[in-house]
Amino acid sequence: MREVIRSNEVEIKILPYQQIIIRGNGNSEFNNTLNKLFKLLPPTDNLRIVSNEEMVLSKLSFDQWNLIFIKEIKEEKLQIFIEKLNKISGILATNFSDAQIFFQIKGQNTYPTLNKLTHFDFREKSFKPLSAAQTLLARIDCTFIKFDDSILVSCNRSFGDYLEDRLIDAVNF
Amino acid sequence: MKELKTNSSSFVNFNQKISFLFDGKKIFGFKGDTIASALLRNNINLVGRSFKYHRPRGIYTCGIEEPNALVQIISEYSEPNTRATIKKIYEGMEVESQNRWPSLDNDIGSINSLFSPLFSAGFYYKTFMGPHKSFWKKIYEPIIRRAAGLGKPPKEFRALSSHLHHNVDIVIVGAGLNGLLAAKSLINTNHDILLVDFDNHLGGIINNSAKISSIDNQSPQEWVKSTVEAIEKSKNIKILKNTLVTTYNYINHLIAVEDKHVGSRPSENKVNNILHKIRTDHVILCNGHIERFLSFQNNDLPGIMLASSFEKYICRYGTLPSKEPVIFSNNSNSNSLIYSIINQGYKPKAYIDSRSGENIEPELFDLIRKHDIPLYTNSQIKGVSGGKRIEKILIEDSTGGLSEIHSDFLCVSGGINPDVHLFTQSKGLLDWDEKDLTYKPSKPFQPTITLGSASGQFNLEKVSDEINEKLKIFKNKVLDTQIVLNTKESYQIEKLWEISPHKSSMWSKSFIDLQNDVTTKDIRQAISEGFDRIEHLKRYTTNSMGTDQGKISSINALGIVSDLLDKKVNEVGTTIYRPPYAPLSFAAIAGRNSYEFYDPERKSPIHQWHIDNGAIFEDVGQWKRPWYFPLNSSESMHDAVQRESKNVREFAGVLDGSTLGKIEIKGKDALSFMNLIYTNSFSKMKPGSARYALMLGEDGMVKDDGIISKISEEHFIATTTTGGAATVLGCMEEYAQTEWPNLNVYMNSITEQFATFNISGPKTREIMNKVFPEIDFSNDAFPFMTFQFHNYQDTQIRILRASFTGEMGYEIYIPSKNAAKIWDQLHSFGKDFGLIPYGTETMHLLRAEKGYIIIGQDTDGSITPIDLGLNWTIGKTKQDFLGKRSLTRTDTIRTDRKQLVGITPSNKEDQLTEGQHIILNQTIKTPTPMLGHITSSYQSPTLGHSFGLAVIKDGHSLIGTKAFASTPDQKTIPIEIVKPVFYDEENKRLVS
Repeated sequence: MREVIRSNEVEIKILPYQQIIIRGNGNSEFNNTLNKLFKLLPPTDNLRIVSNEEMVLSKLSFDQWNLIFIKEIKEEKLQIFIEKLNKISGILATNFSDAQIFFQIKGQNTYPTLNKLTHFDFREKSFKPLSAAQTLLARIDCTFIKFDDSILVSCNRSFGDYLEDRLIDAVNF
Repeated sequence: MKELKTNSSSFVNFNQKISFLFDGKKIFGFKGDTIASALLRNNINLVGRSFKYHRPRGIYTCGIEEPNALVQIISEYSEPNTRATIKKIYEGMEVESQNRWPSLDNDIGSINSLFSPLFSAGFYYKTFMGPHKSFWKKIYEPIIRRAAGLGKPPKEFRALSSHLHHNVDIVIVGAGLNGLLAAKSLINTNHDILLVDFDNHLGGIINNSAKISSIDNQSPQEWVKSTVEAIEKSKNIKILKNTLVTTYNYINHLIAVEDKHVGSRPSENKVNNILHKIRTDHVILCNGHIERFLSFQNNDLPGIMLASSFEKYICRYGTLPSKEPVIFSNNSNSNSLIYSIINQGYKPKAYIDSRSGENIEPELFDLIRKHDIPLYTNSQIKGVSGGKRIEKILIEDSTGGLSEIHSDFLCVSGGINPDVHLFTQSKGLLDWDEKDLTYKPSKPFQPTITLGSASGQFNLEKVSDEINEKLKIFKNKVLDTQIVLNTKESYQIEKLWEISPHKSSMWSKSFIDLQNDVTTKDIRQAISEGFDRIEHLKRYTTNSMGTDQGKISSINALGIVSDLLDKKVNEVGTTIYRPPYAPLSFAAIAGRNSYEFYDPERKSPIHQWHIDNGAIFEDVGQWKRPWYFPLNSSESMHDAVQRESKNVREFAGVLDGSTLGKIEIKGKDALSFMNLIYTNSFSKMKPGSARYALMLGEDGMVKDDGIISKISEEHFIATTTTGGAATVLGCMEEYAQTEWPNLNVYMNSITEQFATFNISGPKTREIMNKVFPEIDFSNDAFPFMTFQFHNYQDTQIRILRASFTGEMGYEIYIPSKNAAKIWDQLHSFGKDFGLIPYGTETMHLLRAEKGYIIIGQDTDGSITPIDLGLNWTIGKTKQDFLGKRSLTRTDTIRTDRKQLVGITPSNKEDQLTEGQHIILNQTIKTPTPMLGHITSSYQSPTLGHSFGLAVIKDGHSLIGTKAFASTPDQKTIPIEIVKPVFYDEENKRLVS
């Protein structure tokens, strides 16, 4: 975990979450497999999330789910999960742990700060807690996951430095 | 200085004196003054010179509609074309007038007035006609270019602007009487509301005139204060002050710019402007009205001002531009001005009204008689005269008799227009109102509501009724606001667009557009020359094309044109008001997306290593890729690339290829899918093997290439070009979902998950044996174009034996978080074998020596695999694949297509350049048939001379032919067309 900035009633951290991208058709075999492995029944509605203390499972499109481990697990265990998922013919599971960077943002000024970088509507009537969104932040493709007290922003790792600098700038300016 | 300390509505702080410079002279004003109000306070009326004729110009208005008083702010990096009527002063401000030399008083450009008959409408276009075309290039253009423009460009500076996005339910534009009432009625409802106003003191007409006596039994100022307090305390309304809405886009998207340093010097550390981008469900336009002027002879002289602006200087700024102005009007809106002047203990020198006596309000008559003000009804001004200021006014009275008044100030009112700019930007339609002689909003295109004078409702006593009616859809609180007026009138106007002069000459001028120096004669001339459509006339005369967009005059132009064409005004039509409403700086538009944030940057996992080792970077899309690694600051790029290339051929080199796309494809039907997407057949490929493959478009042209690794019949990994990574994945997804939804296959991008290192050279095997001692890299165990998975320090890596350089080599795929470790290991072990890092330029050179193409360099979307000599990539027995059908079109099978060849100079000292054309004849005589062009060219340290790849017509059959390459100075270089392989044609080094 690394603190990026804490200022102007905004706190931003980078969290070393592990992640698996799962493609599949969401049928009963798919749901049962995931439920058995992770004790989470995959959401059926797009951009909804389910979570427990250890992981967050979000459905980002009609055939894509992202599984984020908010509690770190051993690399071998992650590989075992992936192998078990890939054994199912209709599933493609890919280790995405190094592909993205996760920013956790909280504080009273979270949404006004983010709205310096994105047009996205963060109001609760439009973006409820325990839901996800994919949009642009500082012109970078990002995924937002909204929790009650914070928001998780992820982007491709290669954009990580640029986004970090833009977030710091948005907090300070 | 003139300050009206008895004026309770003024927002100027008379206890805080401020000095600033105007044209080098120290001027005093007060905190809250604009440049214009401060200058008027000091009896300075001459503020600039007009655009074309360099006529003396003064302050015409008190707001954003100002056409004349545009100044340069020297103390703000020389910001040009700033409206003096809205820019607030601060201590030490430096201001200069524009468009004059050597001084405002004595401007050499005023000689243009003598030649003004030559500069009438369209003169600019007529310069194209002669007497000879060289006149345009050598005489007209240099002179016009030097003379054009008003201010000078600003000096180098770094503006600090930011963007802020809003999502709300309702935006109320304008916080005058109607805007405040609308907001008040929506306090604590379920709607998220933004109330936006350009001023820092809300209230609009309440602050700017003496029309209103009381509101709900409070003085107007007290009412504004209590209403604003209630709004600020509400849970659902946010107020943005000093914010001008400039643009109303589709769909209900508004752009507004907030000035964060009103009345103070811009900070070098804080944001100076915020560009607000607002998405809303509804827009309520309460942006008021604009007064228009009248056209008569010399209606541009300093000392002439719009009537409501004069009143605004009294009420808002506590200054009286003149103690005894003459007032000329054709409508009832200027009545309150007389009232305001009398309230200050002064009176107008005369009141001239074009309306007949019976149409003038009885209350006005009473006021005028009571104060013994000379009154002229059914009269008009024929013209004014003066030098740098108005001196005399010529009046034609109701009998037709002429008389002259000496006066240094004239207030003019030609009527009022609802400010419809934003409404028309939103694509709302207007209707002409023949009674009020103006365009009013009619049919909105978006969810837009207009209130008050913005909707053409000029009766202040009826504001509540209108708000209650139009806002009931929001379930707002019903209002019953009691407004008592000082000047009781309902708006009344008589038609008057222009007054013909008493005596006319070639030099006499009656202006219709002050900023662009367009006269009523220009309008007539344009019509006589056939430009009688309003859009043509606008462009031919440049009427309404200035930064003010003709806010105070465009309707007058329509009126004049309608009279000339004998048409109704609504038959003449209007021109389109385009955003922005007022000039918007590029700095505000760019916001923070400038300088180091100009473009998102993408970095490889070992980017820091490259920086630490002196890499010079190039931009490949948004990626920063090492271009070359100079040994020291004195090594040139050419020398570095020559050294790197030689080293790879003799020892070894390693390239960071992490930017190349990588896609994982898996599913029961993955094999079928891959056979359909690429030209190659993968059916007989063994698991663990890899193949170079091409992807075509449906037109049969090469779109991308890569290496396909077959893990199993149901599992593949494809690489793509750096630039094609997202496109190829998108294409795969599109075809999987729309063309072949029956196929059970999925794909994920793994570009970012894995770093990729390409190591090649004769010493590569030794290095790899050191880094990965447990792996057998012998030819038998690890043949060319095969791959293996291995564990490496708690992670899994994949090693592919492939090469883009022509030397034996490997590609190492490792999770990004472990990338630096392996890279360090490679260099640590590799240095004993002469391993060096190399950049993209060396990569380009080495691959070209082998004849390997680069998509987008040697292809341009019009090249087929056969053109490239890559027929072998096409699976001969494949039933179908993307683009197959197009490969048999008549266009794609003709023999004279451009085909890939190699080019070498006949004289080895000559240098080939990318882009050179290949021609058969040495002598260039236009037109010369071009065979093709050089797509890639390099100086090869291995070959000892320059070489290139080219695409030329019927290239394959021209191999062995001598030809020529053209140079930019129309000379030629003799060349030979050869096979596109210059190194190790038999691939011995690749498979060694």
